[in-house]
Amino acid sequence: MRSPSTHYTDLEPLARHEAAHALHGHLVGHIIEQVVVTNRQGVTVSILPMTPGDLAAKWQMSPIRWSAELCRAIASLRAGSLFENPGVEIYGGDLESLSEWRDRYVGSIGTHADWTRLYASTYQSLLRWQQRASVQQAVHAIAAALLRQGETSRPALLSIFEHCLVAYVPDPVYEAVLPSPQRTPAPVVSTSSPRRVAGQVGVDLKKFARDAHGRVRQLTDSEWMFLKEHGVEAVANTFTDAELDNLEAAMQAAVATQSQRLARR
Amino acid sequence: MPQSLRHTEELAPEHSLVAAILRQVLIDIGQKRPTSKKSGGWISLAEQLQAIEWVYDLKAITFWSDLIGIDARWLQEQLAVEAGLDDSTPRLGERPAPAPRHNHHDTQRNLHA
Repeated sequence: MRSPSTHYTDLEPLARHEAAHALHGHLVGHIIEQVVVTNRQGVTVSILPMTPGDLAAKWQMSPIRWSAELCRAIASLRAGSLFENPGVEIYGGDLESLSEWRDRYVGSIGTHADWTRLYASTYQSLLRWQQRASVQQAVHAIAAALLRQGETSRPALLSIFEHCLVAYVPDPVYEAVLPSPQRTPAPVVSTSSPRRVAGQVGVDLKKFARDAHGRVRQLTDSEWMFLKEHGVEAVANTFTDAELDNLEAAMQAAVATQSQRLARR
Repeated sequence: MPQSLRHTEELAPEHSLVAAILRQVLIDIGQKRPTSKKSGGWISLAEQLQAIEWVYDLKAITFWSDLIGIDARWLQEQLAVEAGLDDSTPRLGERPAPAPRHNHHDTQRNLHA
């Protein structure tokens, strides 16, 4: 009969791999359904808030939220091999899943450069978390428990987490990394049309305060705004003295109407 | 060494080696279409991720920076910027990043190489 320590030696990196998946996933809000560490086969079954197929639609709803979720998903995948042994790169099913996330991202969200920036940011955050002593202790403790169990259900895993004091392990923190804004050509400024005065939008000086028959009428809102900015002098030369009297009367009537409205409130 | 393969500029062999290594890291990171599996010819996604992660491995960078006598952290920062991993472009209202540090003792060492 082999002693447990001998028996477990070869499976320890694999157990740490799955323990890291489970711990990281749990701390970032993924639901860990089951963990299997047997016969050199390791599996962690988890439910994420989105799938690669959902990414584009979710991103449209809230880029900041789902960018951070994408970072968490990527980091959960990368965490496994990171805890196996130093220098172990991502491989197997984890790499395939990561590749799928990347393809979806580059296909519908951002450029390759955006992806590398997002991955780099995620990896840095993951490294900071991985280097914490309490995180490493927790992964080792969980790995040992997973080895003893072989196949670990969700209730058993939650019990392991409690026993390993996972509540005191710091959460990994990921910042949303948004794609660089797409550069669009500057709008072409036409120099052939007459230059507009600031605040003049919607105001035609030739028809200022005149109705369809050319008679003086009350001012529209945009004409009021124009007068506030530029003063009566800006339009005075388009009216005769008699018309200016009419315009003044129309303005006073409008002011009186507004004052009555305010008094009623 | 044949004349055609000799460097025309005065660059120490270790500098050429380090430059070639770092250049390859940047090329690997910049490949826009990595393959899903290692093919031998074209860079794979795993190799590209390895290149990105290498930039954050200070120990690995220190080995190469020591060879040519420059500060490892400075080299790391420059690599991250060159590879587009760090968004170092100053935004509106931000002050630009400080100029790189110079290690005069390292320069001295390079002269002897």
